[in-house]
Amino acid sequence: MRPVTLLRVTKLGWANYWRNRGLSISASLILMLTLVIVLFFFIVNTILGATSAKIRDKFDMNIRFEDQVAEEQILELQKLLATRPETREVHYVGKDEARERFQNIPGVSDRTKQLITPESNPLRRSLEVKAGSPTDLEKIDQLLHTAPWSEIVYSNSYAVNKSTIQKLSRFERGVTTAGIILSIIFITISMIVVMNTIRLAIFARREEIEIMRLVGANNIFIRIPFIIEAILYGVVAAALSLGAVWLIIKNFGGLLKPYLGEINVDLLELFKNQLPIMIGIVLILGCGLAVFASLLSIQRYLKH
Amino acid sequence: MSQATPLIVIENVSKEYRGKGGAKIMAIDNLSLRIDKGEFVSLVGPSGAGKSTLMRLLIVEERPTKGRIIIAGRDLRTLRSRDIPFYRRKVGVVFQDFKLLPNKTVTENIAFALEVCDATPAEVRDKVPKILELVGLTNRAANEPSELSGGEMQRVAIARALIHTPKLLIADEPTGNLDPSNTWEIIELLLKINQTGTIVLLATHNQAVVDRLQRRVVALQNGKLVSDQKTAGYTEIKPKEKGD
Repeated sequence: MRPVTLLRVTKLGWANYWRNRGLSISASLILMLTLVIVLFFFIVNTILGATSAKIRDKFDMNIRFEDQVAEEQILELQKLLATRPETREVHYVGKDEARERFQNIPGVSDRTKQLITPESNPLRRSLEVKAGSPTDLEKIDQLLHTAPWSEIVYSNSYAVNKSTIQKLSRFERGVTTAGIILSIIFITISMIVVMNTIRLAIFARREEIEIMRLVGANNIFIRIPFIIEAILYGVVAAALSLGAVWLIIKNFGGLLKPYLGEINVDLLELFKNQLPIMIGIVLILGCGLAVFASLLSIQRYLKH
Repeated sequence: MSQATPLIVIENVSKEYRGKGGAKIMAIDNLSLRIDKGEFVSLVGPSGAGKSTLMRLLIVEERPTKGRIIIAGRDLRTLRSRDIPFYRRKVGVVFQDFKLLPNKTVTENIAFALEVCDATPAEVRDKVPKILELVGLTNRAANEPSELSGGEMQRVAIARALIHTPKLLIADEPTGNLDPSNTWEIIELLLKINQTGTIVLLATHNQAVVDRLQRRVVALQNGKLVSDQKTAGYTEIKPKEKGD
């Protein structure tokens, strides 16, 4: 195809988008709805990601030691834990640090605080371990129940927090799975609607395609203007969907705050931070979906 | 091409469709026909005789179930799908319903046929005004189809069909939607085109047109050739005798 012809078909695509603006706007609006759903799931997933990180931070274990255990032994265990894949972080809390932390606990009376001095400090030395998941914590717990570690450990918090951690973990898995299933269902439904809208738009123009074929246009010449139009559907839908989501967050985002509780996410800030990624998602998905639907629909009118 | 070699050879062509319940419908039944360069042929017959099917076979909208069609020495069976657009650029086609692009002006509709085959802007600028002059539509160049009369729309369609100077012009009921005055304008235009050496194959129901033309008349009925007379009017059509 000569550059002049390529320029012609590109212009034709632009012109057709404008000439068939009723159909073009309908297709863009339907596509926009799909993209809005996708954007909401993206935002929910981002919030869920932040929540998961916070939940993961709670997957920690406090291992306390008998007073008579030598510090070298504790440091040896720290070293061993640090090399294990399930450990994200391990921190040794000596007697002094334990006392310092105790002094800073709000709500503890000064009289009680004065009872603990460097000379008389009943607080136990401990290792604070952060793991990637509850399963990892369980593995570390199993290790601590083997010799020689079982003899030096006074207690570990896993036994106490086990059921809470497992509940949190099940909740996270449940929310993620539900999110994925709902995303797939909604996106599939929207995709079917988008495909049918574009199919209808092309059906309405089947005579135009027939005329193009009859005057000797080859399939590439016929397809390119429709591809350009589909890209325009995608670009317009992408812009509209971002605008719609921004408006919704701006006007109704505050209503969600009480429900987000500890997560404390500023939705507008999140929108701004994630904007480049969201632009990429809606452009690729919007244009890709429209072009795919367009090519699929046009194919049946191109058979010789 | 020598005078002895016909431009169109239709040899034992049949076209069969499957109706409801798988019943066979013979749209064209073992048809053979030869058309020489410069001929003006009227294709007549009642509805369902097979005229439009034959037209579709000639522009490769359909493929024959049996037999072969040779145009300018090229057997249409050998045309691959990707060659069809190039073939169509050499055959002009005009339809009863004009088939003009509604959102384009007269000039744009005609230029479009050139643009699809990589014509340069200079070629478009050169050819379109000439063809508009030939069909007498220079003053309507900037109008859209909705602003034209039926006769004018058909002239635009003819102009578009002629833009590639085809050797064959296929006109499928081109006067079907026109009043008598516009009908004669179109027929006269077709005759003028035929005088330049282009074969005109005119499918029509219009008895008056055939009578006035007094050119070759091919009559079809139930997909079969029932008459082929070198010069005739509608009323003079005689059944084809064996061995003709």
